[in-house]
Amino acid sequence: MSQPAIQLDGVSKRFTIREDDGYAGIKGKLGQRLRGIKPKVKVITALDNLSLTIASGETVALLGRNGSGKSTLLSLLARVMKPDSGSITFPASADPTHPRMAPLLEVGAGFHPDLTGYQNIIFNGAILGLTRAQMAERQADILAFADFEQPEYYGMPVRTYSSGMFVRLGFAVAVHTDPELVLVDETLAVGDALFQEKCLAKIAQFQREGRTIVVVSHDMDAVRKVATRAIWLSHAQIAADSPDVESVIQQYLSSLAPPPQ
Amino acid sequence: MSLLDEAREAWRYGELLQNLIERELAVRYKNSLFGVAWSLANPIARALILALVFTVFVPIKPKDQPYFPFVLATFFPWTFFLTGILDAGDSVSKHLPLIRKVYFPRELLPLATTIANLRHFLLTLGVIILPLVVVLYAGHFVRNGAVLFPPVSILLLPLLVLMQTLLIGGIALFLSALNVFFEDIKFLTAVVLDLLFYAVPIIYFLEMVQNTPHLDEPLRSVVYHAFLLNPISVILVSYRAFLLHPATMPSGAFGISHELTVNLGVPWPYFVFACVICVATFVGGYAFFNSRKWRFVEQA
Repeated sequence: MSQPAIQLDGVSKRFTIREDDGYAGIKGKLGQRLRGIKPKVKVITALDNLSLTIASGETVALLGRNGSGKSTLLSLLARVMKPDSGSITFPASADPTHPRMAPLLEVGAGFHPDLTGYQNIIFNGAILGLTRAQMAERQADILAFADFEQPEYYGMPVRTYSSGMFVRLGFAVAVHTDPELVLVDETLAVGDALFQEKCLAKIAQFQREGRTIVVVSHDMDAVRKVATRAIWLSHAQIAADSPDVESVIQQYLSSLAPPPQ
Repeated sequence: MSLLDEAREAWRYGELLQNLIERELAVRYKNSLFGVAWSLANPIARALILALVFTVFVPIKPKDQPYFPFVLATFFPWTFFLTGILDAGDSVSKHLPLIRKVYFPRELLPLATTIANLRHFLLTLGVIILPLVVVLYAGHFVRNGAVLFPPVSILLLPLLVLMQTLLIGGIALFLSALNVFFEDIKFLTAVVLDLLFYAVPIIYFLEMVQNTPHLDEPLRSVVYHAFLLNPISVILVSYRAFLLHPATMPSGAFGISHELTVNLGVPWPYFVFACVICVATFVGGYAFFNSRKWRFVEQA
């Protein structure tokens, strides 16, 4: 039995929301104090004591309504947030504290508009944990994947790119970082049909290579196509979790239907 | 995690830090062929204007030497303070979209800005200040036929640059974290720095504060010691004293009725104190940053 790729033990995450818009900044906060207005604070539980084991090579789809905690869970897996309690570990990774990750959440998030495509490839690779030499090796593959109709754009600042080109280059960099773990957000549904085809092919390749994938999507057809396991999150907890993807989808969809009169 | 563990974690990402610094410089120089030259045009123009002002419009003349090198020796280190602190203000906030999506030690952002500004300052030091000092000492040789070496303390210049970088880095860590939660910090900082320019000895000398006839004792002593306790004025005065020899101002200059020897530097105990403050500011700024950095993502 190999080590699990992702292990969550009793993970909770709460957010504190301040309902005091209009009092931003230090001046606002001071004014608020002087007028004797107490800041209103509301605590929202995004994830409540969640335990979960994801095995290496699984493709897990997270389902749930907006605000059910999917995005929070994805952020915790991407390690951009820390849980308030509980632990998240990556036992199967070469370095369990620093899994190599391709967060396909908002591809191209690290691009600087004034730098060229080439410069941004190197820089984005560095953010995802690769050295300059490693990125130089992969450059040809990345360019081939992004497949710009006008290759001269690689040498131009990315602010001149169309949004399609931006996303294609961002995606191309992220999938060429040899990830142990791939996090996919539905914002991926971009680019033309041909490029989407290519993205799906790349995800299929990741699956064959035994990489672990976590997908958030509202597109049930896409979930049926790629997922080997589905988890339905509702009210900060797991409502259903099964390798029978279709049954989880049905449970989730029926919860969305209005109750019979 | 302890502060040391955090630092070790940041150290793992040295390659990314290097990339962040180079990106910052590449953006500043706008990738243009003459980028570095352009970035030097600004300090060169400032040096020329200050030289013009302090020889023609404000003709203050210490014995046997011009006034403006004393201004330049503090003005460029001051610019390092100014840009280092101003640029760091939004170094985290402007990268929030990235921070929300990808993990990396967040302290790399203000640190990269600080180091990019350090590299720029070192360039200015090498291309403008040190050549100016060489020209001054060569001029002395031509006029007097005797070789005059810079003060021995010039050997402490690297220590001074390190102190200043730690101080700027600490303030940068502190302000960049605060600016995520209070977006007006950056503007308040600009105002404070604007005022601070006049509260540190750049266009005047520390000795003038000590001897000014416009303040009575004990107020004069209090003000003078306030200058000595401010690490920024200590650093600026030390740049000047490490590069240039003391000078004699004629009586009557600045309303002081007697001849005054200026550019004596700061008393060493105050220099050591400033050293301690610089290290403490960096450690404190880093601790503050780390206590807040996991809340950046949750902010708005």
